[in-house]
Amino acid sequence: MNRRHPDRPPRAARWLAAVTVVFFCLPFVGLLWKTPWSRLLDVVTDESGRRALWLSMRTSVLAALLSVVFGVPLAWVLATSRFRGRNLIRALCLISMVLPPVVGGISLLFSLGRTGLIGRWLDDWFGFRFTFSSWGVVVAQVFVAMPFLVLTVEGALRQADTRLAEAARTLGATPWYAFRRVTIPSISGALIAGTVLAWARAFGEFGATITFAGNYPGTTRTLSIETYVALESDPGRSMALSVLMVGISFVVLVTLRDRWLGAERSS
Amino acid sequence: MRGIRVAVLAIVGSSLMAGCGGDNPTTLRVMAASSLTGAFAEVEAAFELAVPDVDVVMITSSSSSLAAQIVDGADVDVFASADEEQFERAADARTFDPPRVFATNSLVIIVPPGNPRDVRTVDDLARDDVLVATASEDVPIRRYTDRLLAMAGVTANFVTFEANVSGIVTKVATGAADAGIVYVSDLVGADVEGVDVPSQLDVVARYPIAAATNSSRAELARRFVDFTMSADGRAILVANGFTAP
Amino acid sequence: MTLRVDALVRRADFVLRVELTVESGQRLAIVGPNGAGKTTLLKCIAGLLPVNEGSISLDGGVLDDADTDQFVPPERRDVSVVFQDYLLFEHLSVLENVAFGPRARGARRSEARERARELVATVGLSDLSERRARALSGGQRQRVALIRALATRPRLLLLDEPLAAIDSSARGELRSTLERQVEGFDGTTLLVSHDPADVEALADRVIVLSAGNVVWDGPVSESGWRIR
Repeated sequence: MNRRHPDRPPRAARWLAAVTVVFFCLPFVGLLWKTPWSRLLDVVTDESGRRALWLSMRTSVLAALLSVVFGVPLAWVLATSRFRGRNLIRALCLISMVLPPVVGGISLLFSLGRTGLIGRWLDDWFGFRFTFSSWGVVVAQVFVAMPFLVLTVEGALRQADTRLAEAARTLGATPWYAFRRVTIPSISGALIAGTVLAWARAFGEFGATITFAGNYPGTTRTLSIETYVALESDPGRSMALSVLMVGISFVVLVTLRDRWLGAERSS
Repeated sequence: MRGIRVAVLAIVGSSLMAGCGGDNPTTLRVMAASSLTGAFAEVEAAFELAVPDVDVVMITSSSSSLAAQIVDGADVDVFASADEEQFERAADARTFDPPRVFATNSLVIIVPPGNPRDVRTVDDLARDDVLVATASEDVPIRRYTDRLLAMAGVTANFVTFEANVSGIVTKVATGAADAGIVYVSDLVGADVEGVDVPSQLDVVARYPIAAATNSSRAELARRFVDFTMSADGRAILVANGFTAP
Repeated sequence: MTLRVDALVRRADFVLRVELTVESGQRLAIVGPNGAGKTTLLKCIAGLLPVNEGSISLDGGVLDDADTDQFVPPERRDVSVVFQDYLLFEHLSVLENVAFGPRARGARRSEARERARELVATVGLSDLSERRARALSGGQRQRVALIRALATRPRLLLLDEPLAAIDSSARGELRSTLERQVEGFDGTTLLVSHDPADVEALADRVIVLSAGNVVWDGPVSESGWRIR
């Protein structure tokens, strides 16, 4: 035990942690080493790259927002309700985290695709298609990303002090008002972390997107698909695109502050 | 704690042991274009039956993807490509025997069951209401498709550029796309209907195959190549929709 | 402001059976050993727990009636609570905490803040109006919890061990503040406490709860040894 740092994890743990950090850093070191740096400017300035980047950014941000709008109420219900089959419902909502994304894409195709359960109705009545449209990209991303937010927020809600919401109720707040003004702020860290996680998953999404939405420049060819396509014909370009994706994701994740991840400590 | 340590050592030890020891079959790595998936699965089974002590490892993907892997140094004993261009790309990076065309394939238009948009000719592929799926550049089927469309003077209404032929088949089989152009061999077992391409527009896909030369398994690889070109091999290919020259 | 309770509540360890009328303006103390049902009773009156049998009414209006299946949710009862742990909203300032109730009930932001400012002044915390609740000391939190409950002008004020978390040295002064506020409050007050000094200062009538039943009911002056 270290006299000056009695809280520190034991040496064995720190060594294991160091090995793990190296494991995670190595692929990026390799990538940065082999990337032809001149190409980096190309990929962000050429039309194909810019279109893919813009598509990925706007779809992933929208997917993250939709994940919050639909995921938070779901997390609330899962955390507080006590109905039979709740575990089953939760499992269904989270299963896309475990499935290979392509399987998710195929399932979406059979439900929301043009001949799918709901899809055919949308096509017949409104002439609206998810496949081959940017909305299909958003749907695919939401499908794979939302569970991350739901899991994070549900966990936090379970741990949150319900008495605070009760106090708010006695002061005159409706359950929704109490949730909005008291409960959500009390789990703001988990909510932010969950949203960032969902965004990151959406941004990097590939399998479900290409299977459900297709691959068309500007409309459905996201940055991840663009990177994959480049891999076969122009590896240098693929590497530059990879560096771009890593860079963007890194910047976003690095802004995730410690204090948002941990419990608030009162002074 | 001690129990856990013993268990970990046992697991690591036995997995290391699994690699050594005699009586091991030789592994033959065959890379084949994805349109050959069904046919080559049968060829693999037949070959393993005919030749003792060999384990064929079949890697299928789009030919462009396979070529890229070979260029990148992937270990391969036999390469069967869907077009000569991708084969040459691989041959630039690795020495192969001179390639032989072991199968040819024709193109066919596929539509979802019931042909919802009533696609009958190549010209129909240019209609606004017909969503056509194809593959990205570099995937052989795309080149063949482009050639066919150029000959017909048609600009198809492409809505997606899939990563390989199975992507095209999936989009059409599920009705997401109204039509696509794939190989005749892809009709086998797929939930799609075929619309014939007129013979004057017929683009013939030529599949070259060859064994990699400087490998300890070169002899075995050549036996595999010979097998695909034998009567047994040809029978399998024909049964799967290919034409064996 | 007359509170009428005639109810039965089943809990894990006991059954609470109370028949009680508290006249308008009265200040009632509820005492008894731990686990007797005091907090349960407060929760039912506040609307945080439904009764299993019987009813609770305030000024003739039903708050909870098990027989007719009527239940008024806590936000629609004019009942405020000062909780044992205060339960302040840590991320909000003192002013925002106090203004919370009026705002939740539909008051405009400026109105709510004005009312909050008045109340904050009555307990001498004007200097700390903008400070976050998480940065307050124990005594300050207690005062904020109290005025937050009073901000909504409730008809009934419930105090659950209001000074239990306070250092005994500081208790006296806070008790005086409490006493002053309660005196200035024109509704009915219910106090739960273990401290005889609290009961003396803040109540005129005492009931003793034991194992879910009222075992004694009378004026503070006669309660003597019963308040432990």
